[in-house]
Amino acid sequence: MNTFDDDELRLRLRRVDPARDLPAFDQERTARMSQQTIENAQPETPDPAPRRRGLWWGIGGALAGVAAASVVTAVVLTSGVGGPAAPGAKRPPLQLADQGQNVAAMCMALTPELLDGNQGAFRGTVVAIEGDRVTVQVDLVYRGEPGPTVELTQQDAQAADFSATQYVLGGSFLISYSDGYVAYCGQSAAASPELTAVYEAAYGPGTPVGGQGVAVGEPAPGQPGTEQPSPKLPAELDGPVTIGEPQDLIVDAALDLPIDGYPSEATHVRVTITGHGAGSMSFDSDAPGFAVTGTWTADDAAAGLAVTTADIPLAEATLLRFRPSEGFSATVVLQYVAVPQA
Amino acid sequence: MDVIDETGVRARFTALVGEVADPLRRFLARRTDADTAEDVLADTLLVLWRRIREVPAAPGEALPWAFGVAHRTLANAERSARRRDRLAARIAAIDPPQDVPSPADSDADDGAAVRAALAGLRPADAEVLRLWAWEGLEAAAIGRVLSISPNAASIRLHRAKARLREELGKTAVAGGHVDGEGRRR
Repeated sequence: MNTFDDDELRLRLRRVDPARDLPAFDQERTARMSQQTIENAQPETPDPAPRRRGLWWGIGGALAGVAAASVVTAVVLTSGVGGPAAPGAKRPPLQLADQGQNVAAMCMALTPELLDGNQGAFRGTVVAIEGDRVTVQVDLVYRGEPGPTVELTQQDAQAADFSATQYVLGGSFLISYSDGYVAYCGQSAAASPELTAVYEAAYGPGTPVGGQGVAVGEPAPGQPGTEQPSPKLPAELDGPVTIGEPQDLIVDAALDLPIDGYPSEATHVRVTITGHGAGSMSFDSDAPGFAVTGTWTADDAAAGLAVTTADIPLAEATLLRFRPSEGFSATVVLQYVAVPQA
Repeated sequence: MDVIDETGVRARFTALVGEVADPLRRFLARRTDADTAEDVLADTLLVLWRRIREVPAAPGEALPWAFGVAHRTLANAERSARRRDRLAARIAAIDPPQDVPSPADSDADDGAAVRAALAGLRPADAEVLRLWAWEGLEAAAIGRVLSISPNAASIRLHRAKARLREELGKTAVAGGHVDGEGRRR
């Protein structure tokens, strides 16, 4: 009786199937479950195709509700976009405001046509962050006359959610604006090859600006937590066990990395980013709550400083997104882990 | 531009739930207590809704994909503190009997022997056997659930069957049977 073939083995196992006597769900029941799931998920909508998620898709969850094509509204432009400044003349830097985080918006997909509605656009490097005041040195003008430097407002990291831009010192950003407001929802973000391509399609190649002295206005009172978003160090969980060898890769451009083919024992993935030089890297996942931006000075990089994420649950994450600042590269190490059952 | 065809998406999701809800519910009933199964089923359906555009459209592909989501969602749920109390209750309720089944031939005794043999396997081996026998999946689909290659799944399944035969053979040793194929772990 012990040399049973597969069929007999399967049959014997099926006799002890604990679900053997469960009555089947009927169609009415499954229709109700489907309806309940959609209602419970409200106001979330299904994620768009993975590559676009996050960068172009904006505020979901609690903030969703009001649809707006692009979030460009009131005028608070203070100065500086009149005529061209006289050579050598110091004019106050253009100040651009952010949309408040109370703006409820769903973002439209980013297209050159959408960008074309903006009054001005430039590429700049963040040269100072004081409190929530961010000074950007303009190095390429696509449209308008932003002047040599522009002042922006830092967004709260928690509220930003990739629909706004988290500025990091030394980072290169593409900024579109109208009426004194930065256009978000993917229109303004860290300079990536993809976004640069859309900018060039919308505005043309742009005009380089010679580097000029930074004119920083009155320093704003320091606000805690806004100066250089500091990477969160991993919360040590209940003794996770590493699974398999760490996998490393070099990231020097925006990368959406699908997670698949991981060992079945793994429950989480831990991401460690080590910068190779000065610059920054934004990282997030489609699992909610795992966004981090690491900023490295040249000294930090020389010292081998790394940012490690908390362990990201594989049941929720299908994609890891890396957004390095321009010219920045880093070694990214993925380590699968199994978090023991509590 | 991404245009969300919400009606189409909802219709697809409703059809998907019609296809997978019952198998998912059985999948969970086989692996956890009723309360956890219910919670994890709801969570799994939520993940399916969020990722409806990633669900494979090819016939027969959606179910292993959904099992994979349920497998990982359950693993997460089992780590929650809430789970601890339920687990204790479940172990008390369904742990295989400690007494060694007699080698009699009745169905009840055979059931106890099979449960004991399954419990005697490594969890990973027992899981591929469950997926094979209870969920009715072949190696390639098992690989999709467990996120391993079809080849690895096939090898694991083959070994697990051999080990189960060996375990079952042990219970029949009293009758003088020897399983030549089985190998001790």
